[in-house]
Amino acid sequence: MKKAQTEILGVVIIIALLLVFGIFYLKFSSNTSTLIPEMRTNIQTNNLLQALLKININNEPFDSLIYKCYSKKDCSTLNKELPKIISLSLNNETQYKFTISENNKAFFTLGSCSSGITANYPISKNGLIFDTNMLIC
Amino acid sequence: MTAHQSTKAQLEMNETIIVLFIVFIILIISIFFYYQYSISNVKKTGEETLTTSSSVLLSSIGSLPDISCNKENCIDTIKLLAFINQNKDYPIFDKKTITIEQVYPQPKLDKICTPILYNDVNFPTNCKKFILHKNQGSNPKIISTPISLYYPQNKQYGIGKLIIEVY
Repeated sequence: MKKAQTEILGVVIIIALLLVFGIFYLKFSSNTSTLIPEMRTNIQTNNLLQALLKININNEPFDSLIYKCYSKKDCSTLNKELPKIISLSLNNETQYKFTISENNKAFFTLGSCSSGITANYPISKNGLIFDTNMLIC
Repeated sequence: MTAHQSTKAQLEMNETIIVLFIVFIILIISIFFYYQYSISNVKKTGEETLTTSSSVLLSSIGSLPDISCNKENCIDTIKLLAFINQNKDYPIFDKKTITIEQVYPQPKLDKICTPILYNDVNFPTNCKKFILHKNQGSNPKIISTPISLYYPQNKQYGIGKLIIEVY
């Protein structure tokens, strides 16, 4: 092979390599933003918590059920009805953790989920302040 | 010019032509890939814009004065039915089907809520959906959020699911 031909081949190889690298760069340089899904989960978490706190379950207001669960240790209605309501409100595959605490001590927990978007809302009942927390993963 | 020089010049000319040919091929391939990338990028940006506007709608629909409760963050079902009856349209509803499904209390019938069903004693369990805006299309992208619903006739709250299908 002549010297000139070898050089041309070299140039072609370099250009081809540059092209391949360019294509890979363009493909992987586009960073997909996670802001929108996070924003949506934030809306879902806040809306769900606010909606839950307003409803009556078996003709009992939600705050009364929380107080009953705390004072009489009777959480049967919450344990029975809440999972159904939450799973109907969210998509089936969505994991969540709902916690109710008083003075930073959780006395009612539903679901399991370690990290995600969280929403808090305090409820006052009979002089006690309960902190409700919804975490969606 | 001798015959030997002429053959050499022709060979060099051929070489130049081949190099130019290869360079053009590479250029055409690059342009092709660049346009493919640009087109997919434009499509992606379009989809992202639609998703963003849907997410904005997801958060703002509950505060539309036409359908929202007066003070709290919820949707008043009587206002919702009046809004549906008026066939009002907002530019942000474009290319979307917007539905509110009742979740709790759980509806017994899978019907579309109408003023007639609203006046029935069994409301809200006698119907399932409120359709705010309807649009036809294929392969919709669906996003949803739970939402608080207010039933003024018995002054109680329920939970609904706001579903936005983007085409």
